[in-house]
Amino acid sequence: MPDREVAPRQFVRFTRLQRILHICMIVSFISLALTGLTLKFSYTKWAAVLSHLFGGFESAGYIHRSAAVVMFGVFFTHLVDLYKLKRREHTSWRSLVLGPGSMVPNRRDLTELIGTLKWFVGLGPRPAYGRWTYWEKFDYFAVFWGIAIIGSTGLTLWFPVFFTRFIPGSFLNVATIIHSDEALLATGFIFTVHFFNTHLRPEKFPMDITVFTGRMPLEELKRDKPREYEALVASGKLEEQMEEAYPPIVTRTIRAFAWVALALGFSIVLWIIYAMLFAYR
Amino acid sequence: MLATQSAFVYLALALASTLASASPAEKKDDACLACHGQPGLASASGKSISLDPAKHSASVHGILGCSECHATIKDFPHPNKITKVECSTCHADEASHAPASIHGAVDVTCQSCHGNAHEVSAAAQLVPAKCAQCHADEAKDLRQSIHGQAAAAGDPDAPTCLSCHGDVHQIQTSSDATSRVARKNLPDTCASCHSNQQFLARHKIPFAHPVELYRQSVHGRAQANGDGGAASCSDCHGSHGILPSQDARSKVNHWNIPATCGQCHKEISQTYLESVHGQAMKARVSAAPVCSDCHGEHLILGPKEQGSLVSASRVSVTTCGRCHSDERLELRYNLPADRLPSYADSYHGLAARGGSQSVANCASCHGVHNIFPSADPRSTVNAANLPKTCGNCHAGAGGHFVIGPVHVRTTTGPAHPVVKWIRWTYLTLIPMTLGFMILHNLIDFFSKVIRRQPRHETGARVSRMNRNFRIAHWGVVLSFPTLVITGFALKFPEEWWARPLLLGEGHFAFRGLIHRSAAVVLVASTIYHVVHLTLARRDRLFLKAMLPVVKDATDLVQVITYNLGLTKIEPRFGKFNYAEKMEYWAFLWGTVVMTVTGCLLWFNNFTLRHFPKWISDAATAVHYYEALLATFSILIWHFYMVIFDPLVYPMDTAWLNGKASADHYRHSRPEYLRALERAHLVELPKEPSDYDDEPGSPDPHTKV
Repeated sequence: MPDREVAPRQFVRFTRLQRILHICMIVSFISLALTGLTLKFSYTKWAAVLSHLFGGFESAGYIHRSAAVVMFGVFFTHLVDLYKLKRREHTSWRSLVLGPGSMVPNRRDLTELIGTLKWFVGLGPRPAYGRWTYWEKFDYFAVFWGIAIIGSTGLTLWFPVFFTRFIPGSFLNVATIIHSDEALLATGFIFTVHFFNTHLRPEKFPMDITVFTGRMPLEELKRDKPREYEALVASGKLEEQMEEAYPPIVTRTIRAFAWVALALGFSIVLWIIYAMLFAYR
Repeated sequence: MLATQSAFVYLALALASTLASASPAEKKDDACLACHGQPGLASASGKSISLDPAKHSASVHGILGCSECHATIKDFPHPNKITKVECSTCHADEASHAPASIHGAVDVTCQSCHGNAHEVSAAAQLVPAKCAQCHADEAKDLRQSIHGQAAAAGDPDAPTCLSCHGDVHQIQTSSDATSRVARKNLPDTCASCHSNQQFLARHKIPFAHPVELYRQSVHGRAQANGDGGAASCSDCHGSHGILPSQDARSKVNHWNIPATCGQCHKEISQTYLESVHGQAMKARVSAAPVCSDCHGEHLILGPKEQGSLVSASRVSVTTCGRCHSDERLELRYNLPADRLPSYADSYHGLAARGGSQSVANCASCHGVHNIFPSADPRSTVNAANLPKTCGNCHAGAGGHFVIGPVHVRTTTGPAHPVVKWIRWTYLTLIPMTLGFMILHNLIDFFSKVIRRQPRHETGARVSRMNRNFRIAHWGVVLSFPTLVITGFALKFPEEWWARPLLLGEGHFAFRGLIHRSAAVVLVASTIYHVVHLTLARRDRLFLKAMLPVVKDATDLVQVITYNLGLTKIEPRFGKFNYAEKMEYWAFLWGTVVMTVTGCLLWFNNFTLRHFPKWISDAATAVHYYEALLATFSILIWHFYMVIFDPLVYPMDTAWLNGKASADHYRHSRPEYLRALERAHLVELPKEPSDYDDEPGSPDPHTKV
């Protein structure tokens, strides 16, 4: 990057654990999507090829369930991390939920959403977003929703004998439909909306690697999260959150990984579009 | 009901007689029998007046004393005038109905069936033997029928005469509207057993709901609407002699069906019997279709009715395709395997799959009952008759048409050599072109991402498309996607996204209308562009800059080598680079190809009149493959150039306001930009854009 110099020190946005969890999530999510969709769209040629690569539908099933275990692991580790965060930095759950760094949507997100829509059509300035924008909060809770719906139905399908001790057998059919279509929604959402929000926005294009390095250039913080930036400056805590940037070899490796994930994600979207347009059953 | 009543009367009488046993009445009867019990006693007029006491007491009337019927006779000697004993005295109901019944009308009296009043036997013992005395033929048929067989086997469900004909005292002929066996009422009568699911299950009868289906059929509805001649159950199945279909004598046996239907449909059955199917049937070819194989059984619908197996929308796939795309039959009888798929791929088939009722189906060309092999001069698809057959829809489709095969698959399978050649050309061209585009763009994208060339840094803009260019481009923007969607909706009629466009196919086919309107818009935009270049001297420079030159080829090679890092020399372009030139000329070429082939298909009557059929097939193939190529070229080549190229992302806005961002031209098209700068045609932004280069508030931390 000859013109855009990497600032020697960068703002730390994500902790090490958060970054590791996100990488685990990417690996498990893409594995789940690929192995699951080969079954959902098993009537397309693509699915046959993919399933062959996985070693057949049965072994794809093992990959699917292993990835699901990783996903559950990520989810519960994050919950434990949240609990520790509360112990460490908050006196009560209330302050964790309602505090400025909280992921929980609030009234301000609504005004920012309206402000953003106005900005889209040129009716106002770009809102001064804080640490988490409304679309980031949406993405965050979408995962909770997905884990609950896809996770519960997935477990039902994994352990049908156990679950049918409590629920009627016909629920297995219902669970299949929910698991399959909710997963299609999740896949479609992550690989289009989430990818667009993080990688395809003109200021981020073609890719944003903050979630892997945990760091973002200060100018980006100022431009994209002005409210957080100003709060940090006002409280004088900005300096505490600045750290050395990673050396280029690290960022290059991260970029290579991210490109593979991005390419897989977009390929899955193309595959879904093809399957839905010309082969849907 | 009546039977129940009679039973009650009988019971009451029996009770009364038990109570009265050994009563004076019995003694009195002995007195009567003293004379009348002697055989051969005759009245003055010679009528027998004796009875057999044993038979009488064994009869149903055995519980009655003499005076209970012969009430007027009290003493001996008898009165001069002896009143006639009337059955109606006790059996009022039966007696009142009987005269109005058909039996009453033909002077059948009580005694005709019940016999001597002193020796009357129980009703149950009379049927069917007593009926058979007069109705010998019917009784014989019944005995041989499945119903009679069941009765003989002691099946309690087996019907007797009265099960179908109803109460014996009210029996009417089948021509009487009130008769239970009248054509109109027969479905109800048969339904009393054959609509009973337990009955069907008990007897393992696999035909579910035959009567209900019949009622919905063209026969059933005509019958219900008062057309007494319409077929009812017995017309097809017979009446007393009903036999199961597997019985060779059955009217509904496979081999007898044409004769059975021919009872009413005489001419059709005659035509059928001469046809290829009828001849095969006569030769006992087991798979040869008889009437019911195409028309169905109980639920026969008219050919114009929706859902009919022989309706325009269903006949091809559901009915003809049932055998003519069956692998086993194809092998066994050497039927041509591609008839149905080649039809399904043709315009006729595609439109029919989309719901059109007016396009040709199998029967439109091959006939209905009069189907012959194409070599037969009587065949509607015989070469000599094809102009007339096609002419039914395509007025004046001439002798040219018959040159070349009709059932041609444009995408796979056998075809005219030219069509085959076109197919192979495109099937090579498309992957090569698209593959080149994808590879070229991927390399370009990643090399630009890695090089991280600056973009939009000054916000300088240059005028790239003036109003006239933009008008032509807008015409294409609106018409091209419309053409793509409406065109592929024809090729993929079963897909969900095609359904809304095909909703009107049955009555008002708007898909084709939209497609052709969009085609007119596209052609008009192209003509507008050509006229614009012809008239505007200044803009003609555009054409000069667009002309391909040798440097474009070397540029392409240089870009790829530069992007792959094989050379450090950055390629420089003029006003238009090779990618834009390729796109421009490919678009014009594509428009010409699509217009020519599109017109051949649009004005198909003209085409069929003047050209052999393979010209239509070739036009269809070219139009389809060229459309595929054009669509993917726009998606891959054009959209990369104007959207996903990291240097122009998020979008080259020239098509909206005529201005394109000039910053990356400084590197790639320096001479072009310098010329524009000299002419003061480069606009610098009045204010910095919203966030792209926002300096942010002055802050000490900026220099951290």
